[in-house]
Amino acid sequence: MNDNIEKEKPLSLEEAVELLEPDAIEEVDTGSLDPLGLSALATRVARRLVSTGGRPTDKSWTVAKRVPMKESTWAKLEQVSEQSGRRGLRVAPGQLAAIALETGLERLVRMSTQTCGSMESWEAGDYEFQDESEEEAKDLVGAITCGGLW
Amino acid sequence: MIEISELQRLLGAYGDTKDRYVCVFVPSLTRDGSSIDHEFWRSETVRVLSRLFGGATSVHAYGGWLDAEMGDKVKEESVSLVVSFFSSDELSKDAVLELKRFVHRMGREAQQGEIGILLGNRFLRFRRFDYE
Repeated sequence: MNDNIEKEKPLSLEEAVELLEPDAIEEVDTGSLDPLGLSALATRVARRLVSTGGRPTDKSWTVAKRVPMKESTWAKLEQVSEQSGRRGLRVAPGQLAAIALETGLERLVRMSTQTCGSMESWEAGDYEFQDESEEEAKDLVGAITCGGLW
Repeated sequence: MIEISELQRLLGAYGDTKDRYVCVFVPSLTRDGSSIDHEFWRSETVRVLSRLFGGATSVHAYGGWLDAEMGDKVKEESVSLVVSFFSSDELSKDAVLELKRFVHRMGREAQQGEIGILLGNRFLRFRRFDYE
């Protein structure tokens, strides 16, 4: 046995990634690697939250708009974001707002489809509007909930 | 706070501390949605990683992936995550090339659109399977 043979220097993770030559690389915050953590990780990756260097994002979010809301709503979003972060899922309050908006809209569309014509659960009067736009806004809610927009 | 090496000594654990990991996502369907021999590929992954790093563990899960080349279709399937921990000394060039060879082989033979592996905090996606 030849003891003079120099042992090959181990690679760093960066060198290993380079040698593997993947077609795409995403930075992820893996969190815990116990079985439950692994399941959560699988779900996360599967949901295609793609990282672009910062927080993971949904590739379909191509439009950015300013959406007014109550301070308390933003505080709740920040709270949920913080709770998610503690569980290893980094989602910004704004991203949660987008998810909530999309989910809420889907439900609204479903409700309007099911209840249009005999709507009792959704009335324009359920909302508070600024004076000058009240009538217009009520019309909009009516249009939304009666299927006029969808 | 107690050092890991001291904790290892107290516990009576042997060998180098394995503080890094690789995780391979093993599919159950081809890109076209046909079933593959998932158990074979899961075992094959466990065998390859065990040979390279001394052991591997699999966890069953359910997931999906976005096939952007097929009209952004989300393809859902059962998957297994095979995890293997290793020490910094075990990540040799030969081990990495063996892993690469296996990923390409699984992608090719199991007719995959994409194979994903997690190495440290990087999720690596392979779509072309031409390395032998």
